[in-house]
Amino acid sequence: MTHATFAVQSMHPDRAPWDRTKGVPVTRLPSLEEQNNRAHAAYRQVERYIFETEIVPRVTPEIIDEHRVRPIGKHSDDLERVLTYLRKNHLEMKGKYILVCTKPHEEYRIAVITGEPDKPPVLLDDAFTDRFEAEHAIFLKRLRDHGLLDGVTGVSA
Amino acid sequence: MKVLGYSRQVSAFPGDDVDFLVSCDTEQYHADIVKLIHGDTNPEGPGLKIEPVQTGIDADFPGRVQPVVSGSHIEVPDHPKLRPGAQWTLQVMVAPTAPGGGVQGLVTKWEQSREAGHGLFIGEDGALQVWVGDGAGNVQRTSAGVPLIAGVWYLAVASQGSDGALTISQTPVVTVTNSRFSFATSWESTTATVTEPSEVRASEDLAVPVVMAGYVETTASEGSRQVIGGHFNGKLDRPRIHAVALSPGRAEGAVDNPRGNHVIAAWNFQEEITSDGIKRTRHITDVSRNRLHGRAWNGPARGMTGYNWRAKEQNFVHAPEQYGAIHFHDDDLTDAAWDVDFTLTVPDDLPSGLYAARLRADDDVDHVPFYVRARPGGEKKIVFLAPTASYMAYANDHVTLWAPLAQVFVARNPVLDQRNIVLSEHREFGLSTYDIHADGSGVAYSTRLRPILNMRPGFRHWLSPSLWQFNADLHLIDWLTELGYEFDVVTDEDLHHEGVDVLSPYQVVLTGSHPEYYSEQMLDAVHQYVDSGGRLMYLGANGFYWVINYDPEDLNVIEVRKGHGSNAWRCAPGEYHLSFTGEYGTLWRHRGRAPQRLVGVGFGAEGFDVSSYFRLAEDARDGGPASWMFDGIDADERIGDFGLVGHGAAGLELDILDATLGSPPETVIGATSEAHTDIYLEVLEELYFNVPGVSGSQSGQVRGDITYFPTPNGGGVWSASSIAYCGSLSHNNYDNNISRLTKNVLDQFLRDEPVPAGAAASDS
Repeated sequence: MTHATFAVQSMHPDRAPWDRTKGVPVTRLPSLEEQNNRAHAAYRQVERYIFETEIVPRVTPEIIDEHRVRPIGKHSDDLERVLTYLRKNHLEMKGKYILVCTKPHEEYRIAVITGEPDKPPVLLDDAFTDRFEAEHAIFLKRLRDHGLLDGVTGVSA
Repeated sequence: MKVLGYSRQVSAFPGDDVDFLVSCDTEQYHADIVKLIHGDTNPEGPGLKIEPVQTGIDADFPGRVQPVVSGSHIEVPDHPKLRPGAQWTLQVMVAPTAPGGGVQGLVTKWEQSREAGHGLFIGEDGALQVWVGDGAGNVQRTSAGVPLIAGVWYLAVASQGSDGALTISQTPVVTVTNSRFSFATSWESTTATVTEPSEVRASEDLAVPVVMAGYVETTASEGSRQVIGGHFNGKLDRPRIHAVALSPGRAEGAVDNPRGNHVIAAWNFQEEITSDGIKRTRHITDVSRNRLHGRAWNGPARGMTGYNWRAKEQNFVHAPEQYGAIHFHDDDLTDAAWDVDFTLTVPDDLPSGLYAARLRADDDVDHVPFYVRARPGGEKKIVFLAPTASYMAYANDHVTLWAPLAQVFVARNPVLDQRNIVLSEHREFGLSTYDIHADGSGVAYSTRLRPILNMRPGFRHWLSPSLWQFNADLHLIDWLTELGYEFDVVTDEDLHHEGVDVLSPYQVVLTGSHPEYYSEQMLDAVHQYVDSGGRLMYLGANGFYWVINYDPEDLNVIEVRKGHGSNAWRCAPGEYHLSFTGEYGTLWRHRGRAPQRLVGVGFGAEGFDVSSYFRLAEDARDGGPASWMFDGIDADERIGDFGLVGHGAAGLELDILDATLGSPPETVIGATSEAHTDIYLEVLEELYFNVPGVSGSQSGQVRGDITYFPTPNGGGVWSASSIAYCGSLSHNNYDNNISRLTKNVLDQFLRDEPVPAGAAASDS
């Protein structure tokens, strides 16, 4: 078995490890979460580029209407790319929309995922009797959240 | 939901008992027994069909709430030698996976409600701590003061000297292979040894067990169970207790060589490893002369790489000394351990079939399913082989709430059922093998001994446009019932434990829509059945895919190790073998037993937005060898252009013929599906590189093949190759081309005459 030399720490007042040769505190190692956050920031930088170059130009009244007519099923490449971007939500669970069927086949509510394992999605007021209308409403919500409806004319709701 | 339950047995013969365990938060509930026929509430279909059955159970029962306590740990019963003397040392090799996740017990003899005892912990500060408490209000906690790093192995040592001084030490022990990473310039920042004087002594009369990966929260009193709290996430290896205060350096020597008069206990988790895996899955061996053996609870993962894993060996049975770790999770569950509320003695005249205990409290209802088998000698000609192992694999999944790609995968916003909401609040009901644990590791074990809320009639699954697994298979049960076929049922458990004899009495065996999880024993039995003249109708897709096995100490628990396929998670390196048996896990195709060898087809593509239809293939045209299946169906009809699962018979997951993977040479293709969306993609295990052009509108590999081949001794295998297939059976009051095709095949297989020929060489 190999290991680093045991460092005996002083008791007071601060137990942070101390580099005796340099007379300065030892730098703490980043946690797994901090490492993941660093990688995620790089990912978001690329996602921003993709958003501006690939997503923004594709959001038109035509694809929004296409989605309204057929929210689930075969779509144009333009619509599919926008949907995929929005659904990925930058690989973050928190804030992602989902549907909850509150009355079987009668009521569908939009809800927001909390991202915390033991907290159920939070129901919003948006309620629909038709599952496909609910699907389209989430699409519009996501477009609006990303500022993608600004300047797009001819879209109701 | 006000009432929930589960049964102790899933399959019973007439005359057998089935115990039901119920939790109910109203004063009383009503229970009776029902027959399950159709579970799809879709208004476009025939609707729910659940019929009461006369049995000894039809009464009100008092409600009581039965809690589920999840989290795995080890308990070693109290023993005089385990009570602390004037000086002591607790030590363990530890690789925490959530060190910032609050207080976690590592090696403790501690009662939290009285703050009594002593133990080695991870503290709120994310550092190792040693605690002593006298039970009279005096407690001392000494922390190493520097945080532990997730996924790194440490030597953890806690001691109290004869002068009362408490010492806690944490030292990373990192090699090129054993931890999450191998380089760090500042190991000092996570290394510490701290000594503090103390006048507190642990109470010596504390009768609680030694707990590893937790501590005793409350002791058992009359009418209540002992509750373990402070569950640990991560791995432990080689815990030791000494009756002397050891320096960390001396303790290091005891990791591999726990010798001397002062060794009280030395648990080696690799002791149970045999050449066939871990047969005594719950046993924990103390190799010291005191033999203070322990027991594991709630199924922590065994056969795990230890602190000294060198990455040369991948199978724990070949190098047990490098697999001395157990991986604990605070959300592990193998048995909800409720008390029995009532017992059904299955009436002697109850026909074989799928039944449920219906539990009703106010306006809430739960159905606890179970299967009744046919009396030996009284079997019918058809049997439905219920894929209960696969139901267990999917039990209580939480995927939509943890997997960011779930919505991309299904190309829709998943719709959660009320039962999903219950599960999202009550994580203690346990996880599916599609979930990850709170610490990010995959869920390898699943138990049937808990309420399984997605194994219920009426349940609509997020993954499918409508139904999935248990409830989807009722589409087939309903069709058989409506068309007047008499049939029996058996389960995967029966097949696993009894072998081919379970199937031998039957002329035709029908699978469910997604018999995905198969043990070697099950696969062998189906193979033997087919080889000896049995006739098999595989009414789904992506079957016979994952390698599983059952816990030798609890036949209600399965294990799967995921990797090399289309997987929800991947095993860590060195951990692809099943702990229960030592066999290589992952996909059967990677063990040379691809599903094509058994049923002619195997998993080729998947997508979850909308389903499509089949069209006749060449073998079925112009009197070809597959044309018999399509009697009464026009050659150019779209077959299954309708249905309750994505509005088509070809959907969700699709299987195709592949000669190199083992489709028999006589296999014919009767029909193949087309017009799939780009959400449908070739499966990962088919790809050598991830390349464009593998989706529905670009690849002819994205399809399902309806196939048939004859087998030796008069048998035959027919495969529907689509999970959505059975959802189309009831369309137009059961009068449609999917229903007709299925009936043509079933009737052909039921005839006491030779099965149709398959493909022959073109010059013959």
